[in-house]
Amino acid sequence: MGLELHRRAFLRAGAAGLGSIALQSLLAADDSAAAAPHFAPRARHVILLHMLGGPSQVDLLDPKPALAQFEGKPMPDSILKGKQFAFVPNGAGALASPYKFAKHGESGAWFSELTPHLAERADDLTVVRSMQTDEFNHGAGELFLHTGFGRLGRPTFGSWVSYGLGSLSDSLPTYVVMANGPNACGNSAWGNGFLASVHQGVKFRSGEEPVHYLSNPGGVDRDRQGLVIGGVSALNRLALERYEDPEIATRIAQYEMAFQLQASGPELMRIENEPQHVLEAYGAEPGGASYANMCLLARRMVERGVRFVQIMLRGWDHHTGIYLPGALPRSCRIMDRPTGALIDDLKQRGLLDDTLIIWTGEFGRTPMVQAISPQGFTQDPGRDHHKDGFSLILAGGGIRQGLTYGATDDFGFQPTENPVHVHDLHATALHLLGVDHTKLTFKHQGRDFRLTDVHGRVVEELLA
Amino acid sequence: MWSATQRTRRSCPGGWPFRVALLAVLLAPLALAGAGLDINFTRDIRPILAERCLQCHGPDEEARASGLRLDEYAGAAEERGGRRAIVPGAPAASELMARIRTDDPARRMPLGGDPLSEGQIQLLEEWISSGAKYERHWAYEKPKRPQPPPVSDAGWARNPIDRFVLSKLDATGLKPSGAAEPAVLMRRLYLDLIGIPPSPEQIDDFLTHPTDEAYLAKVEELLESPQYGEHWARPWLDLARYADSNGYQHDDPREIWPYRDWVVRAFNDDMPFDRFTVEQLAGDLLEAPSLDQLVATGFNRNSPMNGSGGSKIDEVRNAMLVDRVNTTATVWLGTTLGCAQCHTHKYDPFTIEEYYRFYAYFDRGVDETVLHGGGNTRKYYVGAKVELPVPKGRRSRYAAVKAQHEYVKMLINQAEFAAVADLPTWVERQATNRDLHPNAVRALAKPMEERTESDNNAIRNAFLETRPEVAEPRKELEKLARRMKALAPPTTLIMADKPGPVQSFVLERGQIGTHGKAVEPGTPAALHTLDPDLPRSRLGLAQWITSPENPLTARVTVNRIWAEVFGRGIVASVEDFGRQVETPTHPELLDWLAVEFVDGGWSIKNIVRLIVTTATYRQSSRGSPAVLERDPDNTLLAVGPRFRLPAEAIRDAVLAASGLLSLKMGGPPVHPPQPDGLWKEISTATDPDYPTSEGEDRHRRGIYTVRRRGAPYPSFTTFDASTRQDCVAMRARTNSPLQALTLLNDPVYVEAADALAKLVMDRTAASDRDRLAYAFRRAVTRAPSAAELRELARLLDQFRETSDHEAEAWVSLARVLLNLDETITKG
Repeated sequence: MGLELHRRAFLRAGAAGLGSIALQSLLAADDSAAAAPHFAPRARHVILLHMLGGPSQVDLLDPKPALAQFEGKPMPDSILKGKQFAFVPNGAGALASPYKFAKHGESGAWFSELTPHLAERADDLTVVRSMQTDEFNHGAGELFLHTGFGRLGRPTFGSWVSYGLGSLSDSLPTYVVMANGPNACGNSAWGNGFLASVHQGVKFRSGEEPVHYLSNPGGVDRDRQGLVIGGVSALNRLALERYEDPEIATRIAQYEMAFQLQASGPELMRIENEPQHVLEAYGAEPGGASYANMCLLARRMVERGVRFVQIMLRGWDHHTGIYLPGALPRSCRIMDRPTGALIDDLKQRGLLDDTLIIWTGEFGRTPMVQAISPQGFTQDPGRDHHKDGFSLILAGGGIRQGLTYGATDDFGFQPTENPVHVHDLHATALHLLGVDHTKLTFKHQGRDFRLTDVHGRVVEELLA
Repeated sequence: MWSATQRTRRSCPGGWPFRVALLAVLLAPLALAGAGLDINFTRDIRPILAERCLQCHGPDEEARASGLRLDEYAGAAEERGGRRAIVPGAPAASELMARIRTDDPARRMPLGGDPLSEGQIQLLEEWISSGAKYERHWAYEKPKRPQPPPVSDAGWARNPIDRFVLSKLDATGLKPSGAAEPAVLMRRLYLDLIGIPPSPEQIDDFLTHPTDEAYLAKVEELLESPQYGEHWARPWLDLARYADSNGYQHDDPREIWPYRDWVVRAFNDDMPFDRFTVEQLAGDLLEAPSLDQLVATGFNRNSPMNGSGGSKIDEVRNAMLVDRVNTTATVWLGTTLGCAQCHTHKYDPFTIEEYYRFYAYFDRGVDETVLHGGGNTRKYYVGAKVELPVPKGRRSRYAAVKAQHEYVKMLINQAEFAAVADLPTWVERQATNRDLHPNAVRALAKPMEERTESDNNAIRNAFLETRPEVAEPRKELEKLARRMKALAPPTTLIMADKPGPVQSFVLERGQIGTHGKAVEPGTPAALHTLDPDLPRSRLGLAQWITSPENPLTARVTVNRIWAEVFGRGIVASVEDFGRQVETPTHPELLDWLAVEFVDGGWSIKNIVRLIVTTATYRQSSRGSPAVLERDPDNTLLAVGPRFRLPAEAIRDAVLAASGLLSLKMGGPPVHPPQPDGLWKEISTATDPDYPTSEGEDRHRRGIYTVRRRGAPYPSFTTFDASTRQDCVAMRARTNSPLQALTLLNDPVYVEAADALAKLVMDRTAASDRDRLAYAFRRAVTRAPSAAELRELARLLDQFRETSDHEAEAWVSLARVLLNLDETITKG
């Protein structure tokens, strides 16, 4: 193959849309073509930490002492009128947070005692207390967080980023997903929707074979695999001369990439190669799919050019177990230290400025108590799903530090100032990546689709 | 590293990404305007209006700015405050021209957007000068059969299709390519008609005498093959979003595979497409419907269903109805009616009220979800279903187990009746017993007068569980129930309507609970007229769709068939024939095919046969440099089709090459080996264990692989298969390293390499050379060239040098062959 073929490949890919930029860069071996932002980006990577189930904002980030007055009494009508909840009946009382809150850092941001490590890094973080979403069930809520739409079929945030900005690595995927168990909407939480499947998140599992079919078949060593791939490429080159189809050139390159990935994938997963103090800082232990391991891997991925890392941590659907020693404090312990360590680690390596970290649930939780389980049993107090006002944390890449943005009413129920919708989160995150969310579009079923649908505003106040 | 090529993509309006195709659009108008040529409204003007103006000045009354409407002449030429947006023949007097030209950002249109390009402005000026003629969107006009045009080389054309293609090539100065070599043509034909490549033995006769007659005979043979229906059912099942589970959080399994088998049979029988349509949309409403006609209505029972505990029943139902409306509109009308769900369509002439008139056809359906009950709000997918006949032996075994089940149930009832006499004394002793079922504990904690019926049941049940004369036979009953389930005749989900009238409403902004205007079932006014005598039911809708007056259905259908074969539709957006889409590459050909389709009795085989017997189809896929330069997407068809196979066909092709493929047809979905634990990754799935199939079922055709929406068969997803979450009219075609890993390392493909190696080594009488050539032909159909044979021999030597035994070397060689681009490509 020669320049002539590259040019033809380019011509043929011409109408194929933005995704083909990756193809061009692949064939032209020119990495700069992969990045086509609308304006100078503030961040090149995203780490999305999704707390599956919806963390309780009033127990973590948004103190509401007023709730104590309504324990055991119905919440004011003005609050609940016309609202729907999955499991809380009408007339439910409040559940005051049993946890102490304090101001931290120079910024004086409020954190509860459940997350001391996050609190310690208050000045690196920004807390948004006025988040809103459209969906109050897990499946739909997860879809909304990741795709901006509550039903199946749309591309995820990570897929849009892959489609819009392309790859930064020649041996690892653009968009990687890690989870410590199932999530409600399944693989649609990293699905490509109507975008090409190369933009789908690649689920990394723990262990030596993070990607399906990454290991050689039994009895085949790397040398033999290399010979086989060499043979495939040699014959494909002859086919390329015969048919002059640029797709064959792409396939030859993809086999080379696959061979690279077979080496770089397992290497990436070997966290045992990290120094002991790093493992300790995260609380990571080689083997297994702990959140600590996933956070450490996230840093290793960002370091190696993965653009979008999505971690999904189960255990935040606290319909019960708000009080000690319940599930909520347990989940916080699992989450708190590794998240803090990830921020420190990225910062020390100079990667935090380049990396946008988003910590959020698909929604928050009600200030009201849920005393009956979904199966109808009485139980220890918990909180139901809540979509109208919840909190999230942002850090890194172009985010203002030490800010607490937005506020909710006395009950942590509705935003009273600066509401930020999930669409706005998407618009703002894309903005930091150098992408105008109104211009990142894909035509499907006769319509230009966007991650932000017809909504979304860049929240300028959150930008550094 | 991850690259994509997709044929259905178009560049985004707004000029980003900036593409060669876009450049062409920008340059063409300049040339046109300069030459003072006629402006074609559909080709030149409508795209500008649709992309830059109609969002605010289109059919949507609510979104319309300043009351100005530019999608029709009357609105555009209307006098408004002493000015007219368009004054025919007088661009200088037309406000539109002033507003797109001004430098004042507060006045320049589109407001807040990038200005129109100079080329676009010139086009609009020219158009207004020449009278500003509007045309009705071509797709809404009934197609008439055009005369095939005269061509430069009448001898090349084998049927009228070729004349349309060649005439267009003539106009651009391109020449068709030569004929494909016979082996490549056979591979193409087998893959297009039955989705399985031929074995060397199947085509040896043809290769010896590759005459026209022999080719036509092959076409007939393959059209009659039972594998034809399996291959052509696949894209239809993508449209029908057929799957074996509900989707969403629980992703419960559902039994609807008899619908899939119905589709395969319908294609094999070449059921006329109008009947195919009516039976799927409304088979249940036909007079005395047959079992098959009921099974066919599974089409619309394929909607995903969100059964999670927190979902609201009316929301779940609405989501399914919306899915049915949008799917029906995409499949038969090539129309994005879904845009009108929340607001009147921005570009196409559909109002929100019309959306809900269409919706009303489906609103009559019986309830399809039930609650788990007992306070648990998890939902199950039920609704109407039918039972399928089963062989006599199975039926009698089923009957025997059922009788036994009933007998044991009766014994339990008697035992329970006798036991409950002791219940009151038992209850008195249990007030503080915490070991019982939590429901019973909770019920016992309440004062007697506050206990509900379900409380009392919980207490009674907890008591009975303590009595061995009840508990023991209950266990037996569970065993019998499991056996009964295994022997039960299969069922399949079907559509059914409520008996009485149902009132439907417009849902404002698509929100449920916002009952707007009451509406009756009906169809969009911009399309052909709805005969008032048709029933106001799905049957009437199906009859309206299959009316000869319908301008869309035949066009949309032949275009999809065309796209399956050529990799690209005559209308590139196979799912959308709206006003905003690209002009067809061969509009007359599209109309000719559409009319031929209806005149030929809606026979799909007729259209497929016509296509694969053309000279166009039989061309070599290798283009001259001039062709690649001028037409890299092959929109003009100067070369034959060459592209990667769909996911299922890749697996089928590799299994066929290795001799493993089973041709067993129909029946419940099969579970070929896949990586461990994938089903466990579905949240709260009721059946997390993947029941890996044994024996022949491991090697069935891809169409029979289970379709679990929440955890699809991974190698299919990697090769762009639909996850069946919604209607897909055309899959993407990507090229990624994960695909390489799948073909290299997935145990299915390793097994296939072993089998191919064995097949080849069993030819003990053959030389290495012959064995290599045979293996190559099994994978890619054609014989290797001298250079390829040399390379194969070199590889074999290399593998032998590095292997402990001969078999290992051949397995490595087979792995090379099964990974070739050509092995997974239609030539």
